[in-house]
Amino acid sequence: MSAKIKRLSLMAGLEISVHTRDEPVVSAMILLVPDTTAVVGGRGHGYDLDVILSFDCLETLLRTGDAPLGIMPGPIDEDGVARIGVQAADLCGRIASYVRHVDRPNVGETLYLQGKVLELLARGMADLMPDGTSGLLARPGSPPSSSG
Amino acid sequence: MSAWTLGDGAGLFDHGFRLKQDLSITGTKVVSTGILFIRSGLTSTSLCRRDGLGTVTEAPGQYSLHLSCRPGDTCTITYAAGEPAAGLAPIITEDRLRSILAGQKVPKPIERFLDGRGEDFATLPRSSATMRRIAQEARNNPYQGGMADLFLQGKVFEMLAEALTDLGGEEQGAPRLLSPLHRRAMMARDVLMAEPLNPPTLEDLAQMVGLSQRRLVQAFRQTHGMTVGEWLVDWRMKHAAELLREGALPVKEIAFRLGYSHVNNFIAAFTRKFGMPPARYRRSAVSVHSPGGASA
Repeated sequence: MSAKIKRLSLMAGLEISVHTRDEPVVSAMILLVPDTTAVVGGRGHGYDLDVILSFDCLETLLRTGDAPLGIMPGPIDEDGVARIGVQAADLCGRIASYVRHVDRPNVGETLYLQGKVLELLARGMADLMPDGTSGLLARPGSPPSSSG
Repeated sequence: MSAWTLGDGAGLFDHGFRLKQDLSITGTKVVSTGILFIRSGLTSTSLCRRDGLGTVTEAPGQYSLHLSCRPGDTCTITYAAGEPAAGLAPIITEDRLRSILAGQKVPKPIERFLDGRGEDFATLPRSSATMRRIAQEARNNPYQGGMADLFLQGKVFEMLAEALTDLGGEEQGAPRLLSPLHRRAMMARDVLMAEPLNPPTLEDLAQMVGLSQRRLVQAFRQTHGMTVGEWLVDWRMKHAAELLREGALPVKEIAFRLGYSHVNNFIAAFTRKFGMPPARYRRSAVSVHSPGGASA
């Protein structure tokens, strides 16, 4: 069937884009576009989901507690792509499924989706940093922090 | 008891203990800003008394919402001996709440609270399986360090979303989330969409989305306007129509691809859906889309 695309803006710098697909492909990834954008995406339950965040927005979301921003370690290839786990794809599918049923999200739906996006970020980054102890994302190219 | 700071103006308390004797804990608000407090009890019954404002019984599985504007506001929570007491309580300051809700329509009690003209106190004991599930997920936080904070902040947002939905009640235009049943019906449809040609049995599907078969049938019909079986036939027919419009596959091959072992069954189903057999549908579609066609 032909792809259908739906986009929702949840807050400044945070947009969700959902494509309907036929293929039951399940995968998820994080894409970092230097200095501008992070994309957390996944395929699951017949949908493609892209969560597109500006780095300003990402930093706002990650400003939690005393945790400093850390550096993105390890498994990112030259294009800034990191593959994350199937569980993240499952969560992508659930977010996408919700988005498909919402046209103009009210405050409750916006909060719900923001909450799920935060869960997705946590899950994605936990896959990237299995020890779970270090910091969070940093803008690619920025000086390594001494956190962790 | 554990406490987390989740960015400026938000925090989370988690508690879990078993008491040998009754316990009362009294807290006094020392900050001058207003705070919103969601108390979600998981296993305990407690009494929450706000001085001069009343007492609320918090039962297992219920949650209560407190809006406190006054500095010096005092709250006493009493737990009975013997019961295991466990719960979770996010706190959000007025400023943080204002930034989260900026420009959006919010339930009237929250609107009055943010305008500083509301009652000092609102408490709404509610029973919500969804809230209990979210609180349980937060308590079972699988992450550590910064990711744990991120995960918890997400759960606080989800709890706030549920609370706003409940607080809005039947208010016109109030924020409202899709109901948990609706979400499960959507999940069921998603499972079917992933493999419509090899769908699970109704029993398996119900188990996959955490509903009884009866509830699934009911929820699916309410959400999608048809039964699971009708949805699958509908999907197959739409897919068949697309294959007929866009490709040159023989009707028999399309029927086979869609799981029909007898082409006549496929033709009958297609005719019921579109009012004409597949071959005629293809001819009319080609005629409409070709240059110089009847409707072009």
